[in-house]
Formats: sequence, C-alpha cells, structure tokens
Amino acid sequence: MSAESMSMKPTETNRCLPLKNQGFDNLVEALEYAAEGETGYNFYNGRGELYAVLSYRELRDEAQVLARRLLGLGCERGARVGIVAETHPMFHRFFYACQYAGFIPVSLPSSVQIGAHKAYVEQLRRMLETCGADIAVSPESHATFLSEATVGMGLKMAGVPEDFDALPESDAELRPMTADEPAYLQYTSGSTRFPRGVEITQKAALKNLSEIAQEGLKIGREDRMVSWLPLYHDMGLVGFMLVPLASQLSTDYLSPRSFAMRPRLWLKVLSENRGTISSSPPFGYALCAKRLRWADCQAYDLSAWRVACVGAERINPEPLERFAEVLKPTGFSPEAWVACYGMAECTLAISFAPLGGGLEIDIVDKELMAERGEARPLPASERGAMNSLCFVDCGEFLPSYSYSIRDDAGEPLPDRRCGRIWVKGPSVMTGYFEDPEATAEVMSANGWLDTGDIGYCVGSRVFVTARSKDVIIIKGRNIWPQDLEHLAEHIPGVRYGHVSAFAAPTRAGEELAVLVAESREKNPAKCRQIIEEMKAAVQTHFGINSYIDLVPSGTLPRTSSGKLSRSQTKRDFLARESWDAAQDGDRFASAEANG
Amino acid sequence: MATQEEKIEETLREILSGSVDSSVDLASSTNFVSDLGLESIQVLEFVMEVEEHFDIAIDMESLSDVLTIGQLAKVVAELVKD
Repeated sequence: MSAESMSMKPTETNRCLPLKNQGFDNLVEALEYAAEGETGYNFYNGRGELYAVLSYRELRDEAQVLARRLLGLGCERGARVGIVAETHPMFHRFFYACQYAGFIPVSLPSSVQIGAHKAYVEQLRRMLETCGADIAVSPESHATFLSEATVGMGLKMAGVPEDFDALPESDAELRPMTADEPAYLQYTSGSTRFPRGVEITQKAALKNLSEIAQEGLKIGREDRMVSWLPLYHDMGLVGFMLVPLASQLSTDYLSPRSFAMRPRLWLKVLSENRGTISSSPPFGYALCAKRLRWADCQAYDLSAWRVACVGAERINPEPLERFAEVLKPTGFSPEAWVACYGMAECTLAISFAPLGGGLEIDIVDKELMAERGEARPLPASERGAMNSLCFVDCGEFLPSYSYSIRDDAGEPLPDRRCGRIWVKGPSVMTGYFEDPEATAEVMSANGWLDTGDIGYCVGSRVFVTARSKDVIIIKGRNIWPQDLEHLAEHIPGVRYGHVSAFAAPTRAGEELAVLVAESREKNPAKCRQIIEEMKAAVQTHFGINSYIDLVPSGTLPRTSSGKLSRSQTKRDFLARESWDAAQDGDRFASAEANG
Repeated sequence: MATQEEKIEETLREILSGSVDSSVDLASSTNFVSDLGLESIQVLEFVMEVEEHFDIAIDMESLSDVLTIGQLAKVVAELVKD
C-alpha cells in the first residue's frame, strides 16, 4: 500500500496484460496472473479522495508475508479467520493471506447502527461462534467492538492488522487452497439469531467468476469497476472484489457509509475514472436520484458506464427511470441497465439480462396472477393501473445452470406459471457450514437448490416475482421475520410465540415492516408504551421503521398444528380498517400515528 | 462547558428540524430512534450534516453509544475541543 500523499494515483485501467478469465484452478492462481499487470484496487474516503492503492502485485506480496505470520499461530488447515469487512485494504490483504495459508476467510458485517453498540457486538460474537473461528481481525475503527465480542472465546488471536503485522513469519511452506477446498464462508443476509455461513469452494467460485465475466458482463480489457457495495454481501465480495481480480480489472471503492452520506461521490468516481461497470440494489439508485442536485449532474460524464446492474431485490422500474432521467445530462444511458438475479448460495450470479437492451418489462394480468399464479401477458389495449402487474426480465440462466420452476409439492410447472425457482450447477454452494439440517432444508440429495424465491420462466428467461418467501426487504436490507418476532417477544407485555412479522406494501409503493402482537394489556397508556418499546427495539437492532399492531389474545390465525400463520396474519392485517386509516395519516409509520 | 454543549445542542436541533416532523419537540432527551423514528440512512445523512457543520468526523464507535440529542451534543463538544 502506498503512503497517503497528494500525488497518489489510482491503478490504471488494464492496458497491457492479455485478458484471461478462465482456466484458474484456485483464487491464488487468479491473483498471481493479475499481479503480472498494473491493475488493482483503489480506495476513496468519505470526501471522495483516494487514500489507498493496492495493486494486485502488492496484494500478492503482502498476502504471502501475512500468510506466513498467520501460519505461525499454529492453526490447522481450514481454520476460520473472521474478518470485519470494512471497505479497506486490510480486508483484501487478510482475505488473500487466508488463500495462501490454507485458511478459510469469513467476511463479517461492519455496519453499526446508531445506539446499537451492544447489538453489534452480539452479532459479531454469534457469527464467530457459529463458524468456530480461530482468528479474528478488524480495522482500527472496529477494534473495541471486536475485542468485546471475543472476550473469553479462547481464540488463537484477535486484533487489528498492526497486531498481526508484528507476528514473526513462519518458515512453513505456503500451500494455497486447492480447487476442491473452500474459498470462503459468507453469512447470508439470513437471520441474525441463527446465522448461516454459505460455504463456496474454489472451483465453484471460479466457475461463477468466469461465467459472470464471459457471459454476463462480457468483460474486456478496457473495463473498470466502481463499487460502494458492502464486502460482507455477495454482490460486493464476489462481484466487486473477486470478479475484477479474476479478470485483471482495476476497481475503485467507496464505503457503503460514504455512499449513504454522499451518494454523488459514487458518480464522481465513476466519472473521473471512466468506470464502465457498477451495480446497486434498486434503493441505491433511488437514493442517488433523490439526493442529487441538478448542478451535480452537469459536472459528471457517465457516458463510459456501460453496465449498471440492478439486483438483490425484486426490481421496481420506477426509481430506475427517475435515476436515468435525472442523469440524462451526464450521458448515462438507460440501455446500460442490466437486470440480474443471484444469491450467495450460488456464489453470486444465476442470470443476467442481455447487455445493451435496458430493462425489459413483462406486463401481466393481475387477477390471473393472484388467483392461479399465471403470468398471462396483457395486450397493450387491455393494460391499466388496476388490472396489470409489471415484472422485470432477469434474462437467461448462465449456461452451467439447470433450472426448473416447481410447485410446493416439487412438481415442475410450465412456462408462465409462478412457482419456486430451483437451480443446480457447479457454482452452487457446498452447503451451510457445519449445518446439515439447514442445508437439507434447501438442497436435495442430488444437488438441486431451492432458492426460496418465486418466479416464472418464459423460455430460458426468468422473471422473479418475490424474493425468499418470508424475508422482509427494506431499503436493500434483508430482515428475517423470525428476528423481529424474537425481539418483540422479549418486551414486557408481549408473550412468547404470539408475534407475527411480515412486510406490507404501503400506498407509496414501499415495503414497511409490520409486527402484529397479541397482548392482554387493556390500558391504552400501557399499550402505547408497549408499541413504543417494540418500535424502538426494531429501530435499534435493524435501523428500520415499523408499524406495530397490538391485538387481543387469540386473534392471530394458527395452522392446524398450532403454528402461527404469517401469510394469513398478513392477509387479515391488510384487510383491517386500522391499517387503511393509518395510511391516511402522512407519517403513518411514526410514533404518534401508531399510538 | 455546559453553555458550549447547549449551543451545540441548539445547532443539532436546527439541523434535525429540517428532516423530521415539525410536530415533534426536540429536547436533550429526544431519542433518535424511538422518538424520531430515523432510519439508518437518515441517521447517516444527519450525521454528515453535523460533521460538515462542525468540521469534525464522528467515528462509528462513538455513534454506537449515542441514543439522544444530548448525548450526541456531548460527543460533538469533545471533538470540537480538539
């Protein structure tokens, strides 16, 4: 890493090294090839200034030294190394040191909500425990959290990079991870209470990297990536750390926090460095469009941006159209939109819409969809706001996948019928790390993965209509209803097993987390207090607004086995007058309207 | 010291009033989360404005221990002093 200075320059876009994006046996081979060129990673701070440059060559050299230091700690091959995945060169160094040392890197979340010190420490601790980590490291900014999280855990070592740099180098031979060994563990955006670590082998990762580069993005030497996505999510980790490395591209980073504070910095970096590929979940584009000033747009040239991937949630075209409209003066072209579909369980990518075509939208009959899950296209003359639904074409499955849309009984469904999306192929995970039960819930013995997502096919193209059945996705954050329910059940006045959480669409077209809780409390002041406490707990732990519905005991619908039925609770809730009335208030989600 | 903190608190309230419902009373004990219902992105936007106004950088650790306007004023006062 170069020292901070005014004259620091980002690594060049690849000019000399022949592009190679297949035939690597492991991530180390991919790094060593990239290290023959001049490209690498560049890190921009919250003011949009370049503060660190890490070329692939420097990364190789530094990772080898660090690997020898780690090996001196005496851990077994395959030991887990938890790395707090702040967007900082330390993450890349430790990730690759693990590759050389034969350890498994585990990326840990780095975002901390206001007032959520304790909740974050607990989350780190649970993840380190679940993966049985031997080593844990965080940047200086997270040192206190990590040291609190690892108290009494008996790890071989936990600390900041400086502590590890002071270790002696072992003279043991470096034996990089081989094709069938794990490349990394990645916690899915799944339940925070029962985190599941997706295990991806080197072979699986490299297959997906090569298909993304060749089929999805059609990467060329002149490409350059720009990203603010968190490195503890698949899109950031795989899409913008591993894909560029395995295609020898330079990449420019902003941290998610810098982006959230000043979204325009994303465009500034794209403009200055002539970035060609950058992705975001829809909310990122929406945030940008909302906070940009017209004058900002005049200053930027985004004409080089040829691939703007959109994924990670069900895609709503409206905010994207707004973004493209606002950014017209910059030369941004709506044809750059590329809808894609994927998940950590498949390394990253499953399908990509064709490049250069923009968003393709299927407009279908709303009634038929609701009644029979049938996506019948509506002729232009019959389309109206009340009778139609829009779904974005997420393109063809990457060639290595087999796929099928199945009903709940596992029977395959024909074209244009909605069901669960199942896939099978070489980039699918080995399983959830040391959790055969959770793995068996989603994977069949013959290797088919139940993605949990709902969609339909038209030929070989996939349309995703709902992400993982129960998951609540708000502003790009996946929240598991079980976690919300668990939180609420710990509030005095609310009983265990008597809360149901789900997302409800508001009139503004957004999703709002709703918790319906049974309570015996009748005193209005006390009810109000319970509601306040629940909202505060949800806010502190998840950083989102929620709507709380307190109902009398016995109101929540149950299945024949006595389990709460979330879907029925949601249907009942949506039909209630109180929800309708609440939405009439301007700030229905705020405390006063919810009292 | 108290007056310095009070002044900062007043400024924080001014900055905040731009982004929250005007019917909410902003007091020293007002909780960002349970009283104002700020979402994480709104919090970051507000923190950015505070940072720009006072020309300081508030680290994540300090922020993780802040619940109320008064507590944030204390953090800011410490940073401004340096």
